[in-house]
Amino acid sequence: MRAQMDAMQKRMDTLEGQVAASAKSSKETAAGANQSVAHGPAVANAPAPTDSGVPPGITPAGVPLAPPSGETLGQAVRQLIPGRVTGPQAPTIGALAGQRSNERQGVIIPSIQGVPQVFIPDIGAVGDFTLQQSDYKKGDPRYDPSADKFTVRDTQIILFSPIDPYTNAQISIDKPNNGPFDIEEAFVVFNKLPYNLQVRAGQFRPVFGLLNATDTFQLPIVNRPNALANYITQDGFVEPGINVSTYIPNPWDAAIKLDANMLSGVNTLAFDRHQGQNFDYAYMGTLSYARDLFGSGYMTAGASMAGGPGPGGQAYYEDPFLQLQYAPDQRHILTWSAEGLLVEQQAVGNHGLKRGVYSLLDYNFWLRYHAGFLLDIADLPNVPSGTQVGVSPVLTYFLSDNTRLRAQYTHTTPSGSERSANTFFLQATFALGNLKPLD
Amino acid sequence: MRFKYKYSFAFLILLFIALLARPLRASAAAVKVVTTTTDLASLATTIGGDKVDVQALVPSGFNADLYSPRPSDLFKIHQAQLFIMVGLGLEDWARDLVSEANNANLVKAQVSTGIALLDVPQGHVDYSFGDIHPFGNPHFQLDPEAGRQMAKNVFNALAYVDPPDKDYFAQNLAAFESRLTDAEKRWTAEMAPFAGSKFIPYHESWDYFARAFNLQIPTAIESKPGFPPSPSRVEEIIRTCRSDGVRLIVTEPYYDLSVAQLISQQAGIPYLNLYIDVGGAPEQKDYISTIDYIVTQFVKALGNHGK
Repeated sequence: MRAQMDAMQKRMDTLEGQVAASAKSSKETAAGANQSVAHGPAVANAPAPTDSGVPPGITPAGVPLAPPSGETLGQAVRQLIPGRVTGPQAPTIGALAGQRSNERQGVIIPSIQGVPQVFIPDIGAVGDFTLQQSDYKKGDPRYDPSADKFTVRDTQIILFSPIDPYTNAQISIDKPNNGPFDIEEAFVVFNKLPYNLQVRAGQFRPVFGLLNATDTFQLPIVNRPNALANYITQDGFVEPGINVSTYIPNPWDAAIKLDANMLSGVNTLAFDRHQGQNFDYAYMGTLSYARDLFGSGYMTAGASMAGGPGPGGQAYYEDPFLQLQYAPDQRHILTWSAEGLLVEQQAVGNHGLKRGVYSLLDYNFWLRYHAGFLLDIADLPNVPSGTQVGVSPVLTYFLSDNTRLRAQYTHTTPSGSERSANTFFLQATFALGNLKPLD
Repeated sequence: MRFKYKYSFAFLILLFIALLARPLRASAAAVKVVTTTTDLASLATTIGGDKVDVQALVPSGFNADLYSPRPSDLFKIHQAQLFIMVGLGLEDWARDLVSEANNANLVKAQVSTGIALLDVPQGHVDYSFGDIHPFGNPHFQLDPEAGRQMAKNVFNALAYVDPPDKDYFAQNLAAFESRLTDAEKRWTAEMAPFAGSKFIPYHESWDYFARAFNLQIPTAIESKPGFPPSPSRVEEIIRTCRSDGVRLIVTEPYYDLSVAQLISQQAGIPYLNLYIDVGGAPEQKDYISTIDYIVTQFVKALGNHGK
């Protein structure tokens, strides 16, 4: 086995040598002096072999977008040789010249023969770390000292890949702070269907309003606004079911999209499937319209609706939303989002009709900074009347595409006799892997 | 009075039926092309002429690497027959757009094919190196010879999508190449007196330009690609400018201009703040005039500062 590996390595080195010898020109600039990464000579980004008359660089219809071209021949050859030889740890930067011989002396870690590594899915992992500190007093129903602490709020591993020419799949494995590992999302997307329909099946975040399709760690604020969270949970709708989406042809050539879902209705606040019905599913739909605005900005507007078995009877949810962006340049981007939620739970009597609305103004300045202001108004659940109003200034700093730091202060004023409260949050979120879920 | 939400569902269904029942606008005969950058849009328009209807996703003056797609971009791709991108990971965001655009018939093209790439990392690569492009530097559009190859790649893509108009596209390509050849001769002559001159850019966007016109780049201002310089890095750059005879600082408007200004002031050399894409400045009307404008600014800055 060792001899076989050495022979493969020799073959790879020979091929790489041939590539290096045939490279057209060496790099004439020394731009990498500060970059701590070795750059090779100019590499001819040779057209890939083609068949069926497809010109190089073109991905025909029905074929997933290829990974970026520009792969060197040596890299391609290495990927095709089973039993890749690697060192026991990542090679040190700047020692690349001597790296090859060191690798041979290291631990041999062959991959499974016949399974080229190019088929490995895209991988992303996320850690979401928060600190919360509030000034609720003992006796206040909202008093929960266990929430005031440092928390690894969420850890996720996300795998994504095309699985055949017609289908993509994604699996997100989640470890929330308050529970065991579970499957956050696991779905396949059929995107080569007639009439440009797209069908998603599995467990997923359905489109509902502006924020539901966004995972909690991806939100532009620390927590989902109470206007939504009070009635669809802090995590939003994550439902097993089936989704169909399509753009609706229309005489105005407008971007009108329909998204329809048939779901199990497992959201613990919104639905209750234990009513003894035979056909007890939740239905959810969104109609949205998007267009460019102000040259480089946009608007999107729409409404989502959901209905299904609620606690003791049917429950209905309506969610109109609007988002506007003004972006005179890339260093000054202003985004305003507003969303309302109307909830009718028929079996809860007069308590059943509830409303919530939030408005979020986000100013992305100097590329990496976001200053935001959230106004969050929500009826209190499970009581005949009462509304709480929250205001939250937020400051977010993206250290990189993969690291985000955030500070948020929230002042909450309930309408009843309860006192106002203040809560302070710090949040650090990081992502690793070639998927960039924070980007 | 209680809302009857169930009626809203019925209203929506009726609205959908009404929309579907309306006669659709006759689709234009032109090939619908969506490009990521305005440079590619310019090349597609030049070669496609009146046979194409071209839209760029990234607005002019924006950095494609830092772009956040708009919801309306999905619909543009949904309607397109051909999607043209730079490739090499410049537009990481494009993959999600393409897969979510509900367009099973979309043909995708990358114009990086056939271009002699610079800055292809060798060996181990991870994010500790900064926001590097693991397949090579994607800012090749500032090299006119790369522009020629980009145009050929755009031609290939258009001819693949619309074979009956291949000869028309070929004529336009030939005309473009002829104009580019003439312009290249002029640019080479204008830049010749400055061969070997050193300049420092903010980001690695200028490596191909330097290769094309025989200039030298000792380093870039950023600490790592995509990361703003620390104060000590700025000091280091100022020292390099003084010791290495650097003659010019070059940045782009989406980066922090104050850093370039500070280095320029401390080192006593001029700086240029240039858009590098079609439509960035009013003079940058198409691909050739974009390079033309940049060359003119370089010649002015280097000429005024003495050799």
